[in-house]
Amino acid sequence: MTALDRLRRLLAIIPWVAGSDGVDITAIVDRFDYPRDELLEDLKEVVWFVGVHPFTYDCLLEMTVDDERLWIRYGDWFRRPMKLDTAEIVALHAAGRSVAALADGDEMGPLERALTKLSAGLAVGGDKVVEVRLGSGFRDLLDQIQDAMARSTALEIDYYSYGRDSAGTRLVEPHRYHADKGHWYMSGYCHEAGGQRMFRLDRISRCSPTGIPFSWEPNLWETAGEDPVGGIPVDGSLPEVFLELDAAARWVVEEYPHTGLEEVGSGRVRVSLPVSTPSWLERLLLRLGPSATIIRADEGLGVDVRTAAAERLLRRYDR
Amino acid sequence: MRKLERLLDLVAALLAAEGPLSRHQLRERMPPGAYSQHDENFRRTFERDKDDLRGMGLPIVVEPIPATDPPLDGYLIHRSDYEDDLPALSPDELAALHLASNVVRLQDAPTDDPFWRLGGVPGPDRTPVGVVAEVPADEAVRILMAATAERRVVSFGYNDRDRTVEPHRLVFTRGRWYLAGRDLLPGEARQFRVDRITGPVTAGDPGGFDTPDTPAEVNDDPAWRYGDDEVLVARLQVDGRHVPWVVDFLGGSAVVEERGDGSVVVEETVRNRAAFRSFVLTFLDGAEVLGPRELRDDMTSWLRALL
Repeated sequence: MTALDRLRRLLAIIPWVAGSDGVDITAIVDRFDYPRDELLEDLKEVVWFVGVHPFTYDCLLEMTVDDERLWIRYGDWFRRPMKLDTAEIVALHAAGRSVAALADGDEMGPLERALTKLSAGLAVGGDKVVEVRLGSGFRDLLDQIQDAMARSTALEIDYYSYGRDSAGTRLVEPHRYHADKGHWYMSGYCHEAGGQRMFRLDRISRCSPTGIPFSWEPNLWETAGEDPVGGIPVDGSLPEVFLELDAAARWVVEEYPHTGLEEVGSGRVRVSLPVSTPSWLERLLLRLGPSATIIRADEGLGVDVRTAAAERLLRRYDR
Repeated sequence: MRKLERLLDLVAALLAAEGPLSRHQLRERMPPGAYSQHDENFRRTFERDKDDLRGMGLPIVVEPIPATDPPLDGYLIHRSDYEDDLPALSPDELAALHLASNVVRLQDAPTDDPFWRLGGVPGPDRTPVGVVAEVPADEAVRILMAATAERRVVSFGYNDRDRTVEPHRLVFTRGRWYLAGRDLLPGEARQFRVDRITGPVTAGDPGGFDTPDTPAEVNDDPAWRYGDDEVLVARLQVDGRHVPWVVDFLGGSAVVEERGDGSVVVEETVRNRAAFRSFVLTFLDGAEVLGPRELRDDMTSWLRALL
């Protein structure tokens, strides 16, 4: 740890210990993530000597330390920890509120109590102006998934695959769930696919518990950031289309992973897009209409895709 | 002397100061050997220490030293700026808050540091939990968070223009941060996508504007509900496989009919036909505009043009 890492911790530890009647060294190590050897060395060789001018005995921190416990009886300058700044309070408050909104029950739990206390650090109304919305409406499904995860039993779901534009029944061992870009996902082992898959909750039309047990080694620190749109490789392994887009269609560049981009003037761009599934390309080309020109495409991905899709949709309107 | 000891003593001296102290006065109040007696070396080390402490968020202020001629500035930390005054959190409250901040994790924000200042993270609850959502929170977002909560006027670049805005609401929704507020130049309510802000965000003083009677709200309604086209109420049939999504997206109240084949008919107010058409096309042949005639014709002529 650097001197600043230690300072950050000590400015919090000193008031915490001073406010109590001695604290176990182990508790400090755990709470403040301070390796034991470094903590003991810093206490005995640094903190021991800290004080204010003229550094006579009565102007030093009054501290007793042994290998088990630490007592601090006087350290007036460090009697309180440093304030959280407004951004820190607001961020904690907003994250906490979004989690509280997920939890059931009306009672005032520890999280709600903590949020009320945090609000005290903000100007009146300041706790209401910043909000993290994770998307709602799947309370029952999330409950079912949490329950199946807790019991390690598989779920049977009717699932619509957006990429392939087809629906089917799947047996899934749920491993985790998360929210991303306003949607909720469940990920787990899919028996039909024979591998790990991610399922968007708003594409599950039926979900039932099966009671079929599974075992799984969790990797809980894995991040939620498995982007459902991404996960699309941009290493050239997928077939590609090369489009020229009007200025009005530039959102495509922001929205989807691409492998090449070139400005051609007047706000127009040419972009190479990897195509994960034909349905994805159909949607994109139909939505863009005349604002996209297909310059080049790998086999089977050219203008025929758009024509065939437009014909298929029109048949529905011609009925 | 070790840097850690020097910094602890410097913080103590700044907190214990009864008034602003010059750099040289501070050196005299430090233990012997803390700083070099060579003035230039001392100045360099002191400046670096000061930057380090400010970087950690320590509120070191510069104020004129009374009765100095010529006038001299000095440094101190006001205890009221420094000392935490939140009600103490009990261990279960702290644990619940820590858990929440790991479940919904703000990226690019220090995770444990605020918790140390609240009393450390209680041991038993350090068990890892699955992250349920990761929310980007870069510097611009953090500045806007504080500015919105403290009613500071903010300035930033957006769409090739410099904006000065009273921030009313900051909301993370559908995967992005949005700021709603009063843009002072036209003097109108505006909504900004934070990831499209260019250049740094700067914030004025706290309480820089009055609490608005009708604050601007972040609007994450679908794009077709806003626009200048003639207002039409669309009837859209959506096939069964898309129903969970469309009900979640539009809300259950949009459904006006449930059909025997599992499909539903939804009604939507349309003020932007292009946006609505784009929405309907994402269903491919899994949806059909039933009416009114103008919207149905709009769809078929769009498709015919692509044949």
